[in-house]
Amino acid sequence: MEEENVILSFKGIITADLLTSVLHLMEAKMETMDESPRTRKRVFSILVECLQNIYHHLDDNPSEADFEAHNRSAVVLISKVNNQFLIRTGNCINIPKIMELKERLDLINSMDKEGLREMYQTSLSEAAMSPKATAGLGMIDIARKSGNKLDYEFLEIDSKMGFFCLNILID
Amino acid sequence: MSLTTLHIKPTAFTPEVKFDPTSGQFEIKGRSIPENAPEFYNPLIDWVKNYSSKPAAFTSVDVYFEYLNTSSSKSLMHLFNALGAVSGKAVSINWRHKKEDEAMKEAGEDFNTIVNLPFNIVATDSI
Repeated sequence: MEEENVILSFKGIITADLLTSVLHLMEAKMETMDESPRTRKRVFSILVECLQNIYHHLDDNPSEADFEAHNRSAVVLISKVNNQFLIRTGNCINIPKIMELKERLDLINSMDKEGLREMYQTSLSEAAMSPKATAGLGMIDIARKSGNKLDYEFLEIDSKMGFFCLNILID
Repeated sequence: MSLTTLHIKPTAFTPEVKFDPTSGQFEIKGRSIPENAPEFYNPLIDWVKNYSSKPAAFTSVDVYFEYLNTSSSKSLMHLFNALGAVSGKAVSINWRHKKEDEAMKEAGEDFNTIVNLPFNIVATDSI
């Protein structure tokens, strides 16, 4: 039977201050848990990327009228399932952006460890050439650090807005 | 115009920085996980650009990270590029990581592959 213990969950509008608070809280919580430093570091690093990814993604759309306050909110849930950490996030995404993100995630999921390493290094050196390139380093980093495939789903809210769910199981 | 030592105190999300233009000893140490890394690193890059026209005979950059996010990694590439443009190019990077910290070792190996500077990866017990 699957046993799940929720460690931390959050639902609401994502701000820079909130990111900071969630990270401080998670770090403090993990210090009280009986986990190896290696696991703690992995979970914390992946959480940093997840939260900052959501935050920057929202930041892409500040002037779009459709992106109202309620669409700037996100869900984050960190739990332990059968002794493994699971980070789940959910956030709104403009429908036209879904295909691009889906292709990127599928490409990442098609790679083995070595492929991810090369993809990361290529993206990082490209990012260095062009200050504007976002290169999607965060998702590659999450995949590398978690040791698992990125489990994702897109839900439809209406004709303009979708909801992106990402589940990261950490080895 | 002579540059003065750049010293930035560490915070919960940003590392300590000590760049000494006279000795050429540079150090970046701690956590680097700000959501907006360019805001933190751009002043460092500007400082290095000023330094690069009149550098010390040898510039040694010690880097140690406890945590490093991808936003910081991008900024670090820009910083390493700026260091690569230091006149005479007598610059080396010492990427230090704790022995058991596989993630930071890997991060160092990633940079070593793509950075065009003498790059040493050093495993240590203490930082």
